[in-house]
Amino acid sequence: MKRALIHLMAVAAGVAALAGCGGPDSPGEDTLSTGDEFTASLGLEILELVGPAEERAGKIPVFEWEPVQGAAAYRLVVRNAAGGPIWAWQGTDTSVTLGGIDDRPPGAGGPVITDGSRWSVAALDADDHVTAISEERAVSP
Amino acid sequence: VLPRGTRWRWPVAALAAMVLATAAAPATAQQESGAAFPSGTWAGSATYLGALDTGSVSAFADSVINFRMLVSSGQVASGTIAMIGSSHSVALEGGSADIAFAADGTLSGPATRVLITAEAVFSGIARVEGYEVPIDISMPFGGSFSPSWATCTEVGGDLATEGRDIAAAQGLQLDAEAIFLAMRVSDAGAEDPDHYIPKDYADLVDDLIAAQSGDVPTSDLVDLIRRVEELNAQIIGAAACGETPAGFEEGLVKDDFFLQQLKAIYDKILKSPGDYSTHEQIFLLMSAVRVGVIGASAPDQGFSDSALLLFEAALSDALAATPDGEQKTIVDIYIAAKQVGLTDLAAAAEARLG
Repeated sequence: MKRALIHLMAVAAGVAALAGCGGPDSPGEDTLSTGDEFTASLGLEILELVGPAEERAGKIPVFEWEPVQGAAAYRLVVRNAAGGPIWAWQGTDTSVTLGGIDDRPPGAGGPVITDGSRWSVAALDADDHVTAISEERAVSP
Repeated sequence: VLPRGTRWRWPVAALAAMVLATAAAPATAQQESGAAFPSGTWAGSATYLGALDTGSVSAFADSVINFRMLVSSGQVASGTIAMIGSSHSVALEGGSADIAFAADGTLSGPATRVLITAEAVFSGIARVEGYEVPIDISMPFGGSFSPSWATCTEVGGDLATEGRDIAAAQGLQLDAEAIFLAMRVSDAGAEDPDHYIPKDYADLVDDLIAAQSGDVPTSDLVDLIRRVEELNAQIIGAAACGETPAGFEEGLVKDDFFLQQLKAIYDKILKSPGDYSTHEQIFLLMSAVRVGVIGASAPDQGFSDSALLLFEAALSDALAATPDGEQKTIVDIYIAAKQVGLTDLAAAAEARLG
């Protein structure tokens, strides 16, 4: 009986995992999405991400996205696998290197990408209201 | 009454002047390449050669352009430009003009597109059917130029890029080139102590300490956080060219003394977050992540975690106080929460929006 219960719990956990019902910090629950009905109902434009590749992007990738008409600034946030912020940036460019330094000198400190990281970009208007949002895309070194 | 034929004076003279003036195109038309002058003092020069042929009038011009400017934190803090040149034009139906051109001006604007504000003097003589008419025109002269490439020590581009497009748009065939090369002659602080990082650092620390006690207007504290971000960006800009002053290599928050002062300001802000607008709260949160006082690589993880929770609580209160009609503000809270990973706040905002 006990063994059957454990088996059932394992199956339930597996089904829950497949359905994306993980813990509070799991990407399935708190990841920013643009494809769902709720986000579509917000009336925001979709901001298209360009790069880097989701895998083998290097520890200090260059993030790039398509411009959004009328955007006064872009806000990028990079998070780690646990869901906490690693680094953020705001500016008018449509690309930025992690940490804000192109060709960061070897050995220099600063943020780096770890396995399971993800990033998203929001476009802001002149009043700091969000006008467009990207999906939250995975990026790993 | 003007002598017969002097009607040719203006086309001949205007084209001569135009060839000179296209050395730097109007700022509104300039396209940016994305390259930027790094921080430091830059000295640059260009030789401009231009030729224009309308079929009835031909004009040739050359000029020498010299500029010097201080770039700090992505902006031209100060700068001057001098342009000297001459032009000769000939009309097919007779007539010619010789014009000398001189302009002195100042430089400003972003390091990706440097704006020129100058006063130009065109002087010379137009000759038409035996008559000589003096030309002496003084006028404001504006333009801009953008680097097409940049390294830490050299920046280059073509001042005439947009001039060619403007002439072409007017149906004129302008063959012009003004390749400029600028060299960094000193770092940002050598010639302007007001933009030297250690001085900015000392000023900012003084102000952070002063703001920790007493009643300080919320707007002053927000401005102080903005200055922290600006100085951090300045340090990052200097680091990009390997010129970070000693002691600043790892950024502002890696300096323990600075971090203590900044944390004290955030503590003060987070004691009464309701005094700040929702957008100020979002700015203060994002700024903390940008500078590195909050986040996975923050030096004090305990402070980072507690500050993040306090921001979540503060924005939850702000969300509760936001009327349903202010949908944009609720969306702003929702997106900020999603981006930073404040799941409870995001869920609360989602519930309001749903």
